[in-house]
Amino acid sequence: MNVIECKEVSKVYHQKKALSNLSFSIEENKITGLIGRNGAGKTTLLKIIAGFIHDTEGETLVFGEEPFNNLHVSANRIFIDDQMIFPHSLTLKDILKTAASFYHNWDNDLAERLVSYYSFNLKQRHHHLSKGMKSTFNSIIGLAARCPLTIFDEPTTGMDSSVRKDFYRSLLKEYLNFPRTIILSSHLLNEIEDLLEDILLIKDGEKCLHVSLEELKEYAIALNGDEEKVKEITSNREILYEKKIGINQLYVVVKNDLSLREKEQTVFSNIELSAVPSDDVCSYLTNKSIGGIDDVFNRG
Amino acid sequence: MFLTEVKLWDIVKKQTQYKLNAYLSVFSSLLFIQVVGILFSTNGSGNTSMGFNGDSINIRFLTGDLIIIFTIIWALISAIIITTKASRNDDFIFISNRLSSNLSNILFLIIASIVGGVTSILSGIFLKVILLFVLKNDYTLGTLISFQELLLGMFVSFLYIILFAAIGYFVGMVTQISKWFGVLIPALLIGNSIISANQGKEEFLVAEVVKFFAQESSLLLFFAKVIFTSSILFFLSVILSNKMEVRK
Repeated sequence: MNVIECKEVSKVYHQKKALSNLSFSIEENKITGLIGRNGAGKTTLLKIIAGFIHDTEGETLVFGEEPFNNLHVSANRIFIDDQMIFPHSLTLKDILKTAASFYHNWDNDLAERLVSYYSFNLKQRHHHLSKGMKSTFNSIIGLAARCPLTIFDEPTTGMDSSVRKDFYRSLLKEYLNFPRTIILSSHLLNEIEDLLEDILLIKDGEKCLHVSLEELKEYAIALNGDEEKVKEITSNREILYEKKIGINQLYVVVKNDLSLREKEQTVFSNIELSAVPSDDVCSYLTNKSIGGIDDVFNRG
Repeated sequence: MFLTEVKLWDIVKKQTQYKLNAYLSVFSSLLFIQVVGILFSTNGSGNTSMGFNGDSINIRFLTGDLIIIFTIIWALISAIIITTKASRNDDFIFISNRLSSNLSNILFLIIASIVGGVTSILSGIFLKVILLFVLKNDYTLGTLISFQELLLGMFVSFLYIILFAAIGYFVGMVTQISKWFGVLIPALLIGNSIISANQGKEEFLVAEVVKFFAQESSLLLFFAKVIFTSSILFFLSVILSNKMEVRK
């Protein structure tokens, strides 16, 4: 069963297209990573799925229903981000109590154990917490609510590295114990790579790639060798990334569809073939220019 | 994981409960405004002096009316505040849709108005008790009111308060749709009264509305008028906000 289905979804914000013709579907009980650069439209997409905002064009279905203004969808999904502002008069304890009263599957025991693990003072108020502590507390709510669709929009903002690791680990354990559909948006793929099954890569509001992580790892290949020989092989291919190394060495990343003959050719030309880490693939695919920031400085 | 089925009314109840906890400041400001109201009222709401055979009599009227007026203003402002973006976003942290959010706001305003109505009348009585002690050297005449009258007073002030809460809620919602209404509505009201005053005519808009309610002598009709008007204002607010985006 597909939990989320988007067909040709577009969203226009202040005359700027934040999403354009995005179509994809997410199956039940999968962990999907939503990856994209800053301003690619990750948050906009997630807010449409959560039912906070409506799409300008296209059709979005969550649990088979339109999410906007839908109580059924609202009850079965939770949206966690760093913009969550709780009423100032409530203490952390009050917030947990309120969350428990709303969410049907709420696991109070888990919430309490996590709160004491991260040593929160329950009498504190949410707006007095530090940025990282806020994110940690929000993530506890997201985990303990046990919603069939759990959306984390950059959940680790401000967390230190050990808390981040703890969070990913608790997310995985919770998922294994109580499988649910999870969407995790981030721009750091390498951290969440071990967690994800699928990744959805978006660039400038458009879908770039929606593949499983295994496929992503095989997606691209890097050629490293003498500049002219590398150029010869890659001349009629789409170059994802290229970088000059030394005087006449070239490092080029292309799609992993070299024919056997081309592979033989690389051996003769003394070109080194190597795999490309998946987070590098993502950043090459979403880069605006093939040379990256180097292009800005190499004006020659 | 199984999907949960929820009922609208269940969520509305939970949200109202949540709001009663969260919007504590609404009630603390009520307390504050009534204390201020009591202080202002100690000066009396009217004075009459007359001379008689070389003696003069000064009569001061002391009422709790000002407290009720203050409470009405409090209701208007509180209602506007709960339509703001920040308050709407509070709802959408947990389970909610626009209808449940609106309904729980209305329930919250009704509860707040009941509290406001009861406490404003009680503050009026409290004022009389204070004055009886303060003014013990003067001749003080107090009116005794029966328990029934007390309840009636509470009920009528509740009706006034909920009416203004509904007006505030509607104005707040309209302003949320476009900030221009926040300028336009006061400009219209004030401009209208200035123009009417300049022409030497009676102000038609506000005056007519006040007459419509304040000159109603039948409790039943007054009740009907208030409930009808508030319902329409609340209904329009619900309709207007039904397409509003949240947590943008």
